[in-house]
Amino acid sequence: MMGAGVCAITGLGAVRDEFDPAVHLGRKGWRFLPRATQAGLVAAKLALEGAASTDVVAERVGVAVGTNFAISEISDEIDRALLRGGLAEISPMGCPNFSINLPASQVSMNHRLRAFNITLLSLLTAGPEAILLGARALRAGRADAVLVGAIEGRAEAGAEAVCGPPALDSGAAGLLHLERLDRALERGVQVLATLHGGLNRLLPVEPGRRATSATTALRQLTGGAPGATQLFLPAGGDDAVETAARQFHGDREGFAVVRGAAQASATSLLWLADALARVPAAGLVLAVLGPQGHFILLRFASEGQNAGSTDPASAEQ
Amino acid sequence: MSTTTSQDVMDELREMIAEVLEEDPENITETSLFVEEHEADSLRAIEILARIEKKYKVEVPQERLADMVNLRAVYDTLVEFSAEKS
Repeated sequence: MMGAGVCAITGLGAVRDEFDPAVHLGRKGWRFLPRATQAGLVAAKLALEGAASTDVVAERVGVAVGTNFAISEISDEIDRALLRGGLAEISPMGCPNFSINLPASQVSMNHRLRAFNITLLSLLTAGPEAILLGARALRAGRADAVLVGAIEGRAEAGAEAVCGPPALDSGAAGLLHLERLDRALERGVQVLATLHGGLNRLLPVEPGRRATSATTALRQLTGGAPGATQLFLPAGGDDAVETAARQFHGDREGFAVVRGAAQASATSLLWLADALARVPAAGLVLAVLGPQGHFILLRFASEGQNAGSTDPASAEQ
Repeated sequence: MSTTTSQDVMDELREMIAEVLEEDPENITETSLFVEEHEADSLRAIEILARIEKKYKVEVPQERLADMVNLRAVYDTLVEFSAEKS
């Protein structure tokens, strides 16, 4: 039985380096935006179109986006321009892009989405954290639908220690259109998958306590029976969390670990966009660990499936 | 501007404004209005002003922005402030 708090994913947009903004965004309105923001706008358009969002009131749609490096390139350009020639070298059209919340804001502005607009910055976890925040907002009645996910740019030099070798030349974005499941069914739109729960934790530093905390979180979220678990770790890995997650998963198939985040906070979102079409019957846990111990867990099921939790009515734990 | 004809300057301005307004240059006539016909906003107007000042080494007071409604008005403003400078 699906509880009142279950969220439906009714649209998604996943964009990587090679995309032509003109194909999706038309002739005007994007050329002066950084590549990362262009990726975000394309992903947003795809997600909204997929969700047949024209019958959702735009003023009741919120936006929550995670990013780590969406403005790194433009910030670098502005710094160089200042050094080169002072203020006169800075383009007025380019200047607003200096703000880290501009990519998310541009999504709201382009589509007149007004419920709320939030940018999250936690390293590597900001994307899935945005999904959790959006689900909470739906449950609280703050919005009828949300666009959530990550918009990323090329990682800064020095980020390799956390992200690993960068695999992003310019921009990437993964955005989901979330709404309450009962509302999606009422609208008659296709449900790609459902979000049944999520957790936001800050794990202790000490390895023993860290492993225990990770295990506790997994048990709280899944009730002890995950279908598949996809764990994302920083580039250097995390033995305590990986071991704890493997042990919790047990001998069942479907456990996988990715060390490093080539697309920073968008890495797990881009993986999720591909994985939604094959969520196993017993559900999927997406677990993302950031370098400071920030741990985000999300539990998904395909439509009509119970994700296996002892508390299917909860969209937040 | 002594070695450049007024038509050259007009063409340069047309190219510059077309780039800022994301239009084909041939769509920018001397009288087509930036706001009403080419969807210009205040940010694009300031960008046009900044580019003119940088390229032609002039200073145009921001209050003149409101008068620079089309290519002809931009050209006339540039001529006025280039003359003042010289």
